Amino acid sequence: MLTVSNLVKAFPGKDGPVTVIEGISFTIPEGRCYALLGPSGCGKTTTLRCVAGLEAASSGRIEIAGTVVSDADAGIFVPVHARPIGMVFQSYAIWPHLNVFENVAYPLRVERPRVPKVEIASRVADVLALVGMGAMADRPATQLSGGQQQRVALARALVRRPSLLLLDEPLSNLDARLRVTMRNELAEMVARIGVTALYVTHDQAEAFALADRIAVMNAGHIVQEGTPREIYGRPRASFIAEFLGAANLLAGRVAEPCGPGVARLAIEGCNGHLVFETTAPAGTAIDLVLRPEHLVVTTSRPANAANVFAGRIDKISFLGNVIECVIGVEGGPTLRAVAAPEAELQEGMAVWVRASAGTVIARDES
Amino acid sequence: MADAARALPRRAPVAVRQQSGLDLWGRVVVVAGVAVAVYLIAAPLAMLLATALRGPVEFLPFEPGAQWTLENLVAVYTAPVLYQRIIPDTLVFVLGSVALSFTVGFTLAWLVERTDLPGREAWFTLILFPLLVPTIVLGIAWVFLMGPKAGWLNLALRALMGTSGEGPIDVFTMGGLIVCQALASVPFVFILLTAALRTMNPSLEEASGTSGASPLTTFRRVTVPVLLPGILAPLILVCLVTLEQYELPSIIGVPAEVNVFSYRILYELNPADGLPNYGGAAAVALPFLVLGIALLAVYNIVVRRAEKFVTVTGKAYIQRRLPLGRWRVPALVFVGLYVVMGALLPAAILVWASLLGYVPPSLAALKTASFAAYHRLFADPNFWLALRNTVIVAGASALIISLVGGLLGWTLLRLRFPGRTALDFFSFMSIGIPSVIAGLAVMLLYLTIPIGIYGTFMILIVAYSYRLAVSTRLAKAGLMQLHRELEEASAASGARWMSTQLRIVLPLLRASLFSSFVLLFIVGVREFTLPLILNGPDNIVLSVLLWKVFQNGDAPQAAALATLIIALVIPVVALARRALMRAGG
Amino acid sequence: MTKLIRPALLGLAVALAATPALAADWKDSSDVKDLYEKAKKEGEVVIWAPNGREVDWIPKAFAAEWPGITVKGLGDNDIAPKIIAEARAGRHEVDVYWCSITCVQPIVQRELPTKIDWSMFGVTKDNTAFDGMMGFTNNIVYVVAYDTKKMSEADMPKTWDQLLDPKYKDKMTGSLFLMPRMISALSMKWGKDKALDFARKLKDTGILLTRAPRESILQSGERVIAAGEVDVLPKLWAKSGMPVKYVIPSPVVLGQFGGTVLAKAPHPNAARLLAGWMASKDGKKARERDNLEVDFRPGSDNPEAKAIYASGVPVIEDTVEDMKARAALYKPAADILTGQAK
Repeated sequence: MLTVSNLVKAFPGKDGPVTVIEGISFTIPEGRCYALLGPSGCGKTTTLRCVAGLEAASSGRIEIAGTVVSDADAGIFVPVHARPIGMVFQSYAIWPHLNVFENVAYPLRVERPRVPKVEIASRVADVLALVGMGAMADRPATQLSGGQQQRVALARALVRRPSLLLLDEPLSNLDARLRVTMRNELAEMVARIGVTALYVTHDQAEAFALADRIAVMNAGHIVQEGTPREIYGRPRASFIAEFLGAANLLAGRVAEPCGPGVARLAIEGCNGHLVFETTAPAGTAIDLVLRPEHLVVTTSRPANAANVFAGRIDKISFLGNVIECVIGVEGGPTLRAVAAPEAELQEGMAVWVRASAGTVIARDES
Repeated sequence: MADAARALPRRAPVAVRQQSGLDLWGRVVVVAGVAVAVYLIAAPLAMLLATALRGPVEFLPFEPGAQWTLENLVAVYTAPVLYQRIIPDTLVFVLGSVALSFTVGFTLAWLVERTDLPGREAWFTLILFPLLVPTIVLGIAWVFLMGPKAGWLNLALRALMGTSGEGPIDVFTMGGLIVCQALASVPFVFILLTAALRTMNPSLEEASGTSGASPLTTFRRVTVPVLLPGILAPLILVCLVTLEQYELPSIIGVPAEVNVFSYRILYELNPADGLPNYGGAAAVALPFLVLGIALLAVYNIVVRRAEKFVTVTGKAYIQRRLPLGRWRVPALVFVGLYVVMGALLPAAILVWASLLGYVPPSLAALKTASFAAYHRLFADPNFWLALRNTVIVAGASALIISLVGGLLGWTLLRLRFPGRTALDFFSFMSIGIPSVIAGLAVMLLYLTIPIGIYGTFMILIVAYSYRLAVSTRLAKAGLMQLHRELEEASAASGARWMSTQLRIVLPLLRASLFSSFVLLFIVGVREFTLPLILNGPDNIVLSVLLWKVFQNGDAPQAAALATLIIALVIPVVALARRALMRAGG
Repeated sequence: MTKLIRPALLGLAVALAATPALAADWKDSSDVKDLYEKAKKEGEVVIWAPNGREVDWIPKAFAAEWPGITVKGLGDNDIAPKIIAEARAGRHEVDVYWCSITCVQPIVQRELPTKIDWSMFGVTKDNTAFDGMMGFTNNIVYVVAYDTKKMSEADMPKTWDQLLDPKYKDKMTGSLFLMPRMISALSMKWGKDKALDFARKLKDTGILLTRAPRESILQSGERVIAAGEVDVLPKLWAKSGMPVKYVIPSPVVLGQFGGTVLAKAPHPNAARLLAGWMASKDGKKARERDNLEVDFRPGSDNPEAKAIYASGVPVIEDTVEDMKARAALYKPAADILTGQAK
């Protein structure tokens, strides 16, 4: 397991030190997969490298499997090669001068006390079989495709049975289709092996597929932490909502409460009020998050008249499994909605859009 | 229907031409460029071969009495001195100095590129210093530093140790020669190795760390094997270049009774009686070529392996720097020591000598310092002529080589045609031709061909231009990082081949062409053998003027000139540094 | 009879008195004046020599006596092949070639110089060579130079084989270029075996033979004696302020230098004028004044030369007849000195 407490990392810069991580804390329980999700520059990779020992934290504490490996204030820093970790790099870092077998065997060969040859051979064979590269043990590293390199990298990280598996955007160098396939395989393998894992990515779908818990990072902070469902369903900041999906973000204000935990909202550009769950008091500036999949598009006025917009379809994109509609509301915002392909919608049609769910985010929280 | 089918024009199969986007102009330029390149290299080579087979020694190779004969070859290869002295001495000299220069050069490159050594920029420029100065000047400076009786270093050491008499350092030994040649070769090695280091993916070493290997183990198991092809290639190159050296072997080696190949060639060219023995000299030079070809073949194999090890992403890796910690002071001492021996002390001696002559250093002597030598220099019209010639010749030849070499590199990389590998190899062979022979060949060639460039600076430009290999390699390296699709996109946008080259390829290659230009300019300024052989009253250059002033006995003036040559080239090196940085290795 | 004798005697007296004047006034002869006019029309003359220092002084000195003609000089070690190559290519840039009688051999063999009338310039036949192709201009004398601060004249050797004395061990430097030549010249007096033996023993004295400038080696103190130098060099060093003097050991070894005019010279008249002037007494005087090079042949006006001939010390002249024998020894001597052979 991994515990990170108050991690701070600053780099020296031209005009003084630049703080990249501004005091973050999180814990990964044994056997769980934890993702750090965020845009480039948010500090997620630096965090991973601090945990690995490739960077030294400026302050804060890192504890792996019960041992403190880094505590700047107490002057503790265990070098990278002494930490019980396995790491998969973004560029895979497969050594070109070794073949597949030797690449994977390397951690066992450098281990002291020495691992007997027989044991090395069997452990390497096992882990290669696990990643589906069993038949390629003799192949030179320079002849591997991207996907194959990735598997070898994973095998190499796992062969020494690490207490913590670190993955630095391992899928970002693959093409889209391969990425989806590998994502599922990786999720399955990690779950099967049961190793504690820290996964860094900017891709929401990856994080959601692989991780038990996610920390969304921005500008060196953890902005929200939780299960994929929690983060997706109840984003605490509009930044998160935007980052996670092509949400509709409507600015507005709480008009007045109208029930326990429910309030009427005045949304810019909309006539009438919308009613959604929120505990924010009247007058609070808010953002309303409407997910495209929660917007029901009908050609006739819906029976339940709450949270309904009237508008016209500006544009339709046929994506195969869904139709994406861009709907312009009269005198109001533009909404993105998805509908089933059978819906027989066309551009220019007058439609009603009913929001079946929505999340209210108080502006000063974001 | 059948008519319609027959009416369709029958198209010729798609030719290579279309794949490379060459139109008529393009073909003209490429063929012309390749022809120029081949001529610039083939002419000296042919001349060398022919000269070796012409005799007897009383006749010059092109005179009516000369015939085809194996006399020269027999005379050279049956002489016992070849096997007893020349070959062993040359082997020891080359291997010794290359080993030493590589050890020092690699350490310096590592410290500058991979650690947090303070003052890296300054060190980089200082380390390159010996490259700027004609080797002959360095040799003389080192003799005055390490001569057994009166060398400055020996004076200092004797004072420290309280001994008297000679030594402890005697530069006039094989060891002294090896050390001096190594000092002179380090900058070249340094440049090549820093480039290799820059192309190594740092993740490879980090992955080793995360796999549990200590830094030392990582170095041994990952860094060295991965870098090895990138190191072997420069190693072979430096061996070839060292074989050709003759300045240091003649100044330091001869009193030390060291006989190397290169010196033997000059020896044949400077008999007391009669004419230079061109045939004999060429016969001695032939094994250079053969050895050179063999080494180049090995080089090609090694480089191909090296290229597989490098992920060509088109950008240099941002290297994470190793903190030196308590190794900081020893590292600084090491770098400082090289810079002192290779740059600062020779420069100090030159400045001192230009003001005072070669008197031993003392405070009393300082009183007699004067700028008289500089005044004499500036008053000499030859100086201004030499300055003008040097800049023109170095600049023009660097430009020609960069462009022709660049074109050749493009041709070799982008086009497929029979004989491509042979042409590639052939272009690289130009490195295997010693300057002495090249100069000789050019001289004989242009005395025979009725183009009136003999004795002018034009002939120097042509002679310098045979060093195509350097810029061809650099162009290929630069082009490899340039994705073919960029050129194809230009073609798809309707641009003809020439436009694509001018608008897309050249600007993107700018960085590597520029660094090629700068490197070749520096090489051109310090070129000594070629302009010496092709010397005429009007085409004197600074390095030759330097030698003549030396020989005329005006040591202070020579030292003043050497100081000025350095002053001329230092800003060029600063530019080179920036160009190399931008080219990303 | 007496009537005829007195004018005859007078005429003879006048003639006798006038002869030195005539010799000095070769410049006044109409032939010379004619040549000068033709040379001026050509405007320039190109002279090549093995060394730049040997031609640098000429433009100014020549222009002082023969204004209107520009002299271009080139110093280069590879002159002979260049001249031959030029001749073969049908291109001619050089008018006058100045060098030693050994160096000019290949040119003479190919009959590239032309024979000129040296007497026009007051040059007697014994000061010419190769059947009138070359006019002698000066000699080099082999000397031993020394640092006066560390050694005295009494310490210096009186004869060349005294160089082998152990007191000179590790004290000497010398020229790689000159020493084999000197030894081959000595072989004319000593014979081949003694000369080569001398070469071997000289090497054992630890003499620092080099192509680098010897004055720097003396100045730095690395060595204190420069053996086998040509007289001009120590004179130049002393002129630039070094504390150096020289002695001339016995037998005195000379090298002979002179100028030739090339048959296909582009400026034939200016070439004749220059070569003739250089071989004349005026040219020799200017050379000694401006370039410290002296005529050391018997009959020379130079005081040092006169003293040597008066003292009866043996002098090894550099003659055309001896050339072949001397040349034969050069390579073996050089091989021994450079360690290429024993």
